[in-house]
Amino acid sequence: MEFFQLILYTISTGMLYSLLATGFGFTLRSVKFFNISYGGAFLVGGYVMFLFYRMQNIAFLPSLLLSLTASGLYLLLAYKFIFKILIERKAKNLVLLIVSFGLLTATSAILGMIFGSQATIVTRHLSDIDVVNIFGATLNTVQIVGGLISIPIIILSLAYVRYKTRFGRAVRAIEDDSEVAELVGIPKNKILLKTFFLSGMLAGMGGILEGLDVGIIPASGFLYMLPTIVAVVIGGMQSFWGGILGAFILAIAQQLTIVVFGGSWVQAVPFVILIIMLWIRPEGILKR
Amino acid sequence: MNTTGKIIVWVIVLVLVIWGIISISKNSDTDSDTIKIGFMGPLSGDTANLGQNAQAAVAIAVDEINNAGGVLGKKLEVVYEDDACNGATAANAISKLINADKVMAVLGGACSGATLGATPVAEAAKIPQLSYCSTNPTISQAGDYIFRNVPSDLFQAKYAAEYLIKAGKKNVALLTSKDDYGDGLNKAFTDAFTKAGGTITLTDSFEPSTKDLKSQLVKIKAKNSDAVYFVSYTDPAIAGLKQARDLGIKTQFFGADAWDDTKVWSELGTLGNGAMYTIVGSNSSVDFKAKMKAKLGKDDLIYCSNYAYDGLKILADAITRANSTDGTAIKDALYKTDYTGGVSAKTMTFDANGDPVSAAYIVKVVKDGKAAESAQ
Amino acid sequence: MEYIFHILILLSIYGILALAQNLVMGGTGLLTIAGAAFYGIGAYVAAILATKFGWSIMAILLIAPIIAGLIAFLVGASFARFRDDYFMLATLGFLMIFNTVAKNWETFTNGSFGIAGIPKPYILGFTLDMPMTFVVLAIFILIIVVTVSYLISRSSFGRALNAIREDEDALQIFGYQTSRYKLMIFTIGAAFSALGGVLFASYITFVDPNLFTVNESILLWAMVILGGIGRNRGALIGALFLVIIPEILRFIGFPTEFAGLMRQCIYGLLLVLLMLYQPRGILGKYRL
Repeated sequence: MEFFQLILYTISTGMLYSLLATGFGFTLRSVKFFNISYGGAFLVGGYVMFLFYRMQNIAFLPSLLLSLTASGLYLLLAYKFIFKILIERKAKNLVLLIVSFGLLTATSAILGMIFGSQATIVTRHLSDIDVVNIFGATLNTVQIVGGLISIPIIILSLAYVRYKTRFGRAVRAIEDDSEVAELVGIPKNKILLKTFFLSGMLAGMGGILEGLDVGIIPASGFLYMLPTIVAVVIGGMQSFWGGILGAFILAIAQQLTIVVFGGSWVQAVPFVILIIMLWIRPEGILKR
Repeated sequence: MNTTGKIIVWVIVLVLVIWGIISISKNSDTDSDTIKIGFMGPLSGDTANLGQNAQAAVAIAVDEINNAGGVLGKKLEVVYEDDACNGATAANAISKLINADKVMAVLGGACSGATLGATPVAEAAKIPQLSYCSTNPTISQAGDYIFRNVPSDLFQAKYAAEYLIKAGKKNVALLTSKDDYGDGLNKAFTDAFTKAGGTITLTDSFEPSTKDLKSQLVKIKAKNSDAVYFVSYTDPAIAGLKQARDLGIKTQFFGADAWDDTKVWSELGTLGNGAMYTIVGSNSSVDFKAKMKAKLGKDDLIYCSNYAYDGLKILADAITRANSTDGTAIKDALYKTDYTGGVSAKTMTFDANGDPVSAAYIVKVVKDGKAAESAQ
Repeated sequence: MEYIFHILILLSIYGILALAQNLVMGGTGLLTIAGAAFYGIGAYVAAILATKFGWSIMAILLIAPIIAGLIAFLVGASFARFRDDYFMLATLGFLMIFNTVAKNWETFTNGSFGIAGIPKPYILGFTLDMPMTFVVLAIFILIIVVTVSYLISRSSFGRALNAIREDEDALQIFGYQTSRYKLMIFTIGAAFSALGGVLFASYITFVDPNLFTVNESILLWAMVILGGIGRNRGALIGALFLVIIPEILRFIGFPTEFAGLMRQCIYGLLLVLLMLYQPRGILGKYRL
């Protein structure tokens, strides 16, 4: 019984990480640097949702749309006014990394000043979140609707967009070789803007889900980046499905650690796996 | 950036530096017409709620004292500093308070880690330090100038252990946060509970900043325990109890003094029903609660604030009795404290270690978003 | 005034840490988050040797850098083949693992309680327990570190490091075993950071796992980049600015609740703005 419950939890966590990893992968593959400020979009999504849904008491769906737009916009603006300039200057990856770190730090701090450093819970009443019984184990409604239903739909839609639409082809072209892509007439700038927006929305979605389920703190932006990065690196940065694979491997590893060693070691798990992967196979498991 | 840019930057820096120097020198003019006490608390970070609440309580105390004539005929002034619940920040903060602001006593910190970081500075400078919330046992040995008006966690854990045994809960699972608060209570409780004849069925912990206790709770659900001793601050408490409900765990959840934060129960609503926790019996008057509500604009009284309020008054009282602004004299007066009528405890005296002499705990039980003392 | 000595001590410690960071980052362009980890290792070594084994601080000042250097050598050797962003991730992993170990290895590190009561240095019959006397030791160590850093930059070793930062591939073509250079400077940087850690432990007399976090590393990055990468003077100026300005803010009467967050925000923004508009920092000769 508990085993099945643990499996359900692992799936739920794996789904969240998959969502985050997929979104992260988009910008990673297009502009080829680790955009840590992705965590900032996560926070913006969650906090804006809190603002609209809980503080201003706006209905769920409109709040959701507004928050996703906000988080998408956050990353888009970050690209337009910060990253684009640096990329055009042919800045090294490290510079972009440092800048994205700085942006996340500043964003967390500002949100912390506005909303406070303690947990911000997006749900209006925790007692409203019901529990569904699945073969003797339980999951709450946020985890089911968010994790088990919405996320797979989102990921499948993204896969469709990526492989079956013009936009998706353009994105893949840019990932392959952005200069050649430009040469053959792909509007690189426009596509990148859309990619960042999309990426931001995905991060924001993650923030909203966590905000509904357990609550977020300013530090969450950075905290959730860690498993995201690890998932992407393990699974394979160049591959769309890699992030998802890595996400589940990580979720399983974390679960096992808690069960076998206890909760206090779980913090180190992503990193141990990361370092091992970097040693034996830095490109990740899936190549494409 | 071109030369104009650079010039602008340097001008700004210069302005800041000059402003700073002026402020510093204004500060160090030994303001002989006010009595200065320093306050340290976590005004930022995971426990910011606690620190800000305490700050409000102290402000109320200061007003009351000044309206009654001040201390030694002079106005009482409190300088507030943030210790971020962190030893190094606390050491920095207390250093500023003592050396730059020239306070004659310090009320703080709240987190044990912060207090322990600050005590060496206070001890070396011979300035009395009174912690209003740090319960780590090692503070008893921190020094001659170090006091606290909260009892050490050893007592709280012992009380909880005996309470649970008396209630027939012989098999208890432990779930504690991985910081000095959780670890301290974990050790103390394990000792006391096993000595009283109980069995610990399982012990697990979690990072203080995490909100995911699901796996630990699944493990707990698997072991049939009579109760779960769940030690955490606000955020993990909310998350953990919700997740426990989700899992359908019906065992008695028993917590410690940090659960006396109204935010926990207002967020959980009916989900918190039946949870219990230990807290030092407070003497909190309706009057004091009303003043806090007026000051904060909402009904929010975190337990530490009772101690902070009393703590400030105890310090003021000691200064008055010592009739001096000298740290050593105040310290001596503190050892002779016999304070009555406080909001945290009916009486307060300190033992040779600077710890409170007695501690009367009570158990509170939660119903519909509010916690109230349970009928013993 | 006591307070000024206190600030001088902080400046010395951070100066040492910034120099160490600059040596590694500026010298080779290696982005490391491990700065905080070796600082932490130095502090813990000091704490454990002093309180549990009764060593004197002066002896620890000699042994801690060696221990840190050894660990750095092992860690660095494992990570040496990683490039750029992977290296950074690996050092991040190292820091988090160190943090987790510090919290859990209770017999050695006292876990979350930390270690209190670290003694002050005792030299030639004097106990340096006043800030006025401690500052002498702190500045003395700072001068040693500055001198060694200076000598390194001037040597052919230093020139090779600079060249690695500019263009590692070119150097490899010329037959330089670049990973050996990187390893050496990583080790030296770690040793210096450990010195800073020992001073810190002895001054504050208390260490706990929370003192060593990613935020410290970001602060160090900000110092080095602000001052100007590649120049030792730059690291010192960066340290000066980032220690003094927050203290001034304290006096100007900034609302205390926000002080910590405001500082975070400033560090973050600094990183972003500097990289955008003044990548050379204040004094920098080079840019990343």
